[in-house]
Amino acid sequence: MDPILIASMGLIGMLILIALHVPIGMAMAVAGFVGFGFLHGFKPAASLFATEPVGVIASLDLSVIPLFLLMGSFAGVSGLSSDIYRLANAFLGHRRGGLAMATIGGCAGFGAVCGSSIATAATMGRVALPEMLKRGYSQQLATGSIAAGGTLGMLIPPSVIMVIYAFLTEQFVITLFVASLIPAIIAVVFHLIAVNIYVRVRPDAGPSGVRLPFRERWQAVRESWGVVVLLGTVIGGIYSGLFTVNEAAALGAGMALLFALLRRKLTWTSFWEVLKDTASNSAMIYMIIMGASIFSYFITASKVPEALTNAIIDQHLPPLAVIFVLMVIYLILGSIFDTVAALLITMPFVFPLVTGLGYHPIWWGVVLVMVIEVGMITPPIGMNVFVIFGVARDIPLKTIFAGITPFLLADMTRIIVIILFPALTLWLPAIAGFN
Amino acid sequence: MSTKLGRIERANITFARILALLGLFALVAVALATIIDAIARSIFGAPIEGISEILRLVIAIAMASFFPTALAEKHHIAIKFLGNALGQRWTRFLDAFGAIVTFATFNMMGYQFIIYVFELHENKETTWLLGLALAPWWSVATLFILFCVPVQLVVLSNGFRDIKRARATSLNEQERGG
Repeated sequence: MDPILIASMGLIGMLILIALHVPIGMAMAVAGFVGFGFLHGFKPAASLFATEPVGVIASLDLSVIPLFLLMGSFAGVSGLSSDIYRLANAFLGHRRGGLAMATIGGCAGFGAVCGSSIATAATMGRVALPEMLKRGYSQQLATGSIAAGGTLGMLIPPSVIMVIYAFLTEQFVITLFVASLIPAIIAVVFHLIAVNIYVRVRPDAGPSGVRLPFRERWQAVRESWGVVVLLGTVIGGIYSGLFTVNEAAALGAGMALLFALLRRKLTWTSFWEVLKDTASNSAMIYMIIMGASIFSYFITASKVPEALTNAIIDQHLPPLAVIFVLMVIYLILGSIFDTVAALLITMPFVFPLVTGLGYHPIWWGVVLVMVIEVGMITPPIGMNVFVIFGVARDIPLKTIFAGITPFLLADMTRIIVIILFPALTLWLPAIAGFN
Repeated sequence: MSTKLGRIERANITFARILALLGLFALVAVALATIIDAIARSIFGAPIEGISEILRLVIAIAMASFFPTALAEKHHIAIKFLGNALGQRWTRFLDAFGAIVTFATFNMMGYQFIIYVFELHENKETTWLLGLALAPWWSVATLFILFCVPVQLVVLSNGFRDIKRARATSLNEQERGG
């Protein structure tokens, strides 16, 4: 049978299994196994169930995932998220829409210690939403800023999804972290601009608060020393070359635990919850990576990616047009699938295509994360929106989606800018010597 | 019958969590060793020789110990559009189908891991620097993967129980209505 036909059937089979409620990791593994079986025989295909998972579970690169998850959970328990929010609020809260801006800042800061969009949205939802509603903010602006701010968790290093991308595409994860810095700053600035424009159009949506005197601002800075130390150690350690990513993740997890202990925020119940969630979430992510490894092996063996790349190159389409078409596809996928799933399902086909068109794998990694992240607030699904809906049950979904709109526009503009100017992504790694 | 299954389900989750806890201790040990190595390297200029070889093996065991808990608590990434569209009855059937595929996958994985460990043992494979025998370490990881099979079997049984229970309830309602 023609390998391309087998690969196409494998892809369709995988999608059918996913539609039939099969966990995505399992669906990818089964489709990869059957497809590879048709290509090269079922005995070698069966051995993929050992060789690929062995490579995944023994990977030192991926071992940062449970450590970062642990760090994020302990940081949440120890109240570091509230500290970041208070700090941002002390400096921005007096402005019109200032609390929404502080939420964006808080999400960016907490995203840096937790690396997950959903965790950032859920944590900041609990911290910032009651405060904004209490101060008379509109439900739209309050929920929209948290759901949109939450997506920053994925883009701001260290990010779990970037670790997975780097592992699967054999890129240096620190280069990816460095490359995402400028796009992350642009993301924060664009979100702040979105809030600003929103409250100019609807001044009642975000009333200004009281300007805090210098002493109280300084107190907020002093009280948030924990976050500063944690971020400084993890991010500073990675970028300065003092620590490897694994060392920074290990140190970060240890420090976050220490903060939780010293602040007497850790009970046996919360400690057990953190451990249980870390184990369960890590296993969930690893299962999907194992499935993706088996599926990728099959797709690579079928030589479909080369055929697809050649077919698109033969069409003489402008590479930028291909990228924009991919963006639309990813926005749709990101709104339906979990982010990790959307990334992994398409990786075997899309990565060779994009690099075959001459684009840099690091640039593509950053763009991909940004687009999938935007998918998390795109209707009809938008995972972050549902997270906020879970936190604030009395606010209708329609209101949250309406609140997202200005941030969605800001995100689209940002993605177009990053696509049109790859130097915004590749300049920093180049001058920092990470290329 | 259902109470017995309920008890088995609770025991299943507890057992899986204990395994995960062991794995988490291993993970904490990995984190500590990593920190000590970083300090030894950056302050004393003397990294712990071959530490990455040991860490790789411990991480494999730690990660393998996490799978049973994710299975027992049905912590998966799955898309449930079809079930939502077709209604609760079909959702139960589709969930059971997903559980069957997961069960089959872990059976296959467990079996292939056993073959892998035997190959490591027969070829007397060791780590490159420290010369540690690989088979004993991977045997532990394989054992944890094999634990996933009975754990998922309980999940599967519960899925069938739910289908049966729902059908019985629906029949009762029909009889009452008739």
